[in-house]
Amino acid sequence: MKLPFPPPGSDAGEAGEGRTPSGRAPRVLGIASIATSASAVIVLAVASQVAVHATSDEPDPASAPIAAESTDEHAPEKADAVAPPAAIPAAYDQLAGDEVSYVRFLVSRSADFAAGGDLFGGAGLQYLSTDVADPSFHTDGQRRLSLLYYDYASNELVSFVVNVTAGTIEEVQRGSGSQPAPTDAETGLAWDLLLADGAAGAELGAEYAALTGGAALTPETDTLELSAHSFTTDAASFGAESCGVERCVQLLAQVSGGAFLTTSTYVVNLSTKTVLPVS
Amino acid sequence: MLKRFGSLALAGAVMAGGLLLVPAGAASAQSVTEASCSGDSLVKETLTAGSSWEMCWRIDTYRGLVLDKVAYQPRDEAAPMMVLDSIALAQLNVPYDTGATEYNDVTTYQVGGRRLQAITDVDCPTGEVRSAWTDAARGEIPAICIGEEDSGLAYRTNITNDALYAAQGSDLVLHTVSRIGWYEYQTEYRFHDDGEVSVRLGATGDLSPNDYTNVINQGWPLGEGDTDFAVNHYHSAFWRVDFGIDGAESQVVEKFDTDPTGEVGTTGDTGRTPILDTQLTTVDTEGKVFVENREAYRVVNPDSINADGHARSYEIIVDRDQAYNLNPETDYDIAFTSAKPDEVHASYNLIPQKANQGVSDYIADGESLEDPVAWVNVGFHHINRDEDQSPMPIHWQGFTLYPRDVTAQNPLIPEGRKWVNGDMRGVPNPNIPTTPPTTPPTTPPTTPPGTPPATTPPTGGPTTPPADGPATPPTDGGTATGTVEFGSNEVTPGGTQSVTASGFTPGESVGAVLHSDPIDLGTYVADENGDVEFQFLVPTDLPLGEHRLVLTGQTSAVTAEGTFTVAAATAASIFTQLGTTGSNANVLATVGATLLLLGAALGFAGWYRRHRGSGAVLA
Ligand SMILES: [Cu+2]
Repeated sequence: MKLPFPPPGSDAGEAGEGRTPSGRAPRVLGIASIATSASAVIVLAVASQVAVHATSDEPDPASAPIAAESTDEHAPEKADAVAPPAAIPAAYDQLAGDEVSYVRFLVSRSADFAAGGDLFGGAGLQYLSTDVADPSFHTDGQRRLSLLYYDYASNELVSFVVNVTAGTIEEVQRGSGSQPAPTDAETGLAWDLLLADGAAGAELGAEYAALTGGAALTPETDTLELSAHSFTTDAASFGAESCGVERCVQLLAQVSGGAFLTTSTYVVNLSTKTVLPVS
Repeated sequence: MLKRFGSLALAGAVMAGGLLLVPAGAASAQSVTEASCSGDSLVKETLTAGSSWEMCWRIDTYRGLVLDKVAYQPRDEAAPMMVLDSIALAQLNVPYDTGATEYNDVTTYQVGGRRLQAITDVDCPTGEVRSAWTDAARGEIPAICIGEEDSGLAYRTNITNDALYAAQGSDLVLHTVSRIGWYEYQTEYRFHDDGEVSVRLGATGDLSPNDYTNVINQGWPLGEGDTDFAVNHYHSAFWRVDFGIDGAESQVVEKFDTDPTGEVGTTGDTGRTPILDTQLTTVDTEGKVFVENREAYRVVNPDSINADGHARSYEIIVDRDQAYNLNPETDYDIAFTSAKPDEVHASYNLIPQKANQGVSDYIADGESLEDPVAWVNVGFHHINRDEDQSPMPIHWQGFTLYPRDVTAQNPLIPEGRKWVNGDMRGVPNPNIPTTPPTTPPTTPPTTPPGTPPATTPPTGGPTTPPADGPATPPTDGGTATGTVEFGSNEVTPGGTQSVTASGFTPGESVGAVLHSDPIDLGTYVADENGDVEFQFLVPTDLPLGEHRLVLTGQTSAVTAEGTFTVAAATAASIFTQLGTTGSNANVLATVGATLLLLGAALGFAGWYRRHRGSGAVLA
C-alpha cells in the first residue's frame, strides 16, 4: 500500500510520531495535542486516552493523525508531494486521513493558497477544516471534500471544493464576516497574547495562583486545557465591533481539577493581535 | 373506499413489470444507501420486529454527526424506502438571560472535529462502537455508538374471543458525544421499528462556572441560601432535515390546520362537543412557521402511493411554543427552504458565498419549494436547578418525524389483524367462526332461505361444487334494478372483494346478502348519489365457483345484483389480491409457499415502480 503521507524528504508526521512504537501495540489516540505557536508549547484540548486495536503492522494512513495546522512544519501544505489516497472513499463515506492530506496538499499548490496570509504573518492561507462536501448535489458518485481556510491577509474565509476522484480543485469561494471555530494554533496564539496583556495577564495569574497554591502562570504552564470559540458581534459598545469582519476568539482555560479561569471578560483579535476587554 | 381504482391500477403495473423483474432479483439489487457509502460508514440493521433501517453516517467538523440517505424498510416490504436525504445539527444557540453571553456552538465552537469525545464503555454499554477520523491531531477515534434498544410497548389490543395482540418494540439508536466548554452534548437519533424517528440533543456536563449573577430574576439560587444565582439561559437546537421521501423528485409541504366550525354536536357527554374542520393547505414558498395549537406540518411525496392509494409522507412533530422568539435567528419552530449546497447552517453560515447568513436570509427571496429542507428549531429555556450542579443530569430537547401513510396499515401488524383495513362495520372477524352450528348433524340439511349457513365446509378445499342454481331467488318485490360492480371478477377465498353499487335512494339503508348460502354482509347507507361502496373479506370456507351478491334498498326496494367467481389461487389471482390488499399475508398464507416468491417479486416491482427514473445515485 502506498503511504501518501508523509511525503518523501520530510519527517514522519509529528502528530503520530512516538505513539506507535510498535504496530502491534494498541494505538493510543486522543492524547494531548501539541500545538506550536510563536514561542510556546501548550497542551490543548486534552481528551481522555483511548486505545483502539491496531490491525496491521504499519500505521494506516487512512486512520492516522496528520499535522493539524497548515503552519506546522510537517503540514501537507508544506510537503513537496502527497500521493492520492490508496483507496478513494465512496461519495458519502466518512473522512479518511490520507485523503485529507491529499486535498490539503492540492489546495496548497493553488494560486489562491499562495496569495493568502497565515496566522503568523507568513505566506499561505491558514487551514481550518476539511469535510465531505454535501454529496446530494452531485449524481456522479465522485468523492468531493470541502476545505475551509482563513486568509489573514484579507480577512476572508476561503473555501475549496476538491474532487478527490479527479484530483482537481473544482471551486474556490471567498467571503467575509464568517468566522468558523478557531484551530489549536489560533487558540494557542490567542492565549499567548492574553497572558502578555498587562491587565489580563495579572488577573489570570492571580486567579491561577489562588487555585494552585501560588503557582505562577506563564505561557509554558502545561496544566491547563485550552479551548476557544470564534467571537462575532454586532454590538459596538465595547471596542470589539470589528470582530466578525476580523477574526476574534474568546478563550476557555480549564485548570487541572476542573476550575475555569475567568476568560470571558476578554476577546483576542487575531487579525490585529490585540486583546479587548469586553465587560 | 375510493381505493379500488388505484389498487387495480397497481395490480396491472405489477402484472406488467413483476414477472419481468424476477430474473433481475431483489437479492442482488443494491439499495441507494448501499451505493452511497461503504464499510464502517454504512449502517444497516434489521430490528427484532423485522423492519430495517439503513443509512450513511459521518462526522462533520462543525455539525458533528451527519446522517445521509436514511431509508426505512417496513417488515412486509421487499426493499427500503428513502426517508431523508440528510439530517444533522445546523446550529446550537445558547444566549444567557443576563444578555452578557451568547454562544453558537456549531459554527463558532464545533460539535464534531476536536470536540467529539471518544466513546467509552459507559457511553455504549450494549451497542457497537465504530471509529471515525475526526480531526488531524487525533486521527481516528471511537466516535459513535450504534445499537438496538428496547422501546417498550409497541401496541396492544385485546380482542374478545380472538386474541391479545401485543408486542414490545425496539429502536436502532445512534449517538455521539461532544464536549463544548463545560457542557457536554449527546447527539442522538432513534429509529423506531414502526418507522418513527426521534431526534434529540441531550445536555449534560456542568453549568457555566462564569455565569452567576446577583440579579434575582435572571437566575436561580444554587448553593446555600439565596446569594449565588446561576444565570438562566436558552438552548436552541436547530436541525437541517432534507427530506427525500421514497426517492422523490419533488415533494410537497402541507400544513394541517384544525379549526372549530363554531358548531357543536349535542350527542356527546357534554352536549356541546365542538365540530372541528381540518384543512390541508400546501406551503408553496420558503418561509418560517410557528406551529400553533391544532397545526401540524408534513412533507409528502405525491408520487409515492401506499397500498391503500394514499400518498406517503412524514410529519414533523415539535413541541409548541418553545422557540426563543426574540431574535431573527431563532424566531421560528420550523422554516422551509429549497435545498441548496451553500445553505448548511441555520445561522452564521460558514459557506463563504453565503457567509454569516442564516435561515432569515435563505427565505428572503420567497422561492418556491421543490426539494424541501425543514429547519427545525427546538428551544429549551434552562431555568437552573440545584440538581443541575455537577455533573448535571442530562436534559433533552428534540422532535419527532412521524410516518403518515408510509404503509397502508401498522407496519408491524400481527397476522390476525391484517383483515382490518378501513371501515369494517358489518364484516365478521375471520378469526372466529361467524356462526356456530345450530343444527344437529342428524337433521336433514333443509336450509330455509334467510337463515345463516348451517353447513360450512371445514376447509376451503374444492369439495363443494359451485351452487349456481337459483335455489334462492332474489326478492321480486323490487320493480327497479340497480347495478353492481366488483373490484375483480375473480377472487380467492380469504381475499378482499370490493363492491360498488348504484341505483338506490340517497341516504337509504341497503342490505347486502351473498348467495347461494345466504351470508349477510351487512347493511350500508347509500350516499348522496344513491351509491353504495364497501369491501368484504371472502370467507375462506366459501365454496369455489360463482356467487351472487344481492343488494336491496330497504326504502326503495330497489335491488341490484351481480356475480363473481371464487377460484383457487393462481398466480394471476395472487397479483390481483395483493394489488387489492397490499402485502397481505392472509392471502399469501392461503396459497402456499411457492407463491411467496411471486410476492417478493411484487414487492420489488413496487419498489422499482417508485424508484425508476428517480436519478438514484450510484457510485
Ligand atoms: Cu443549560
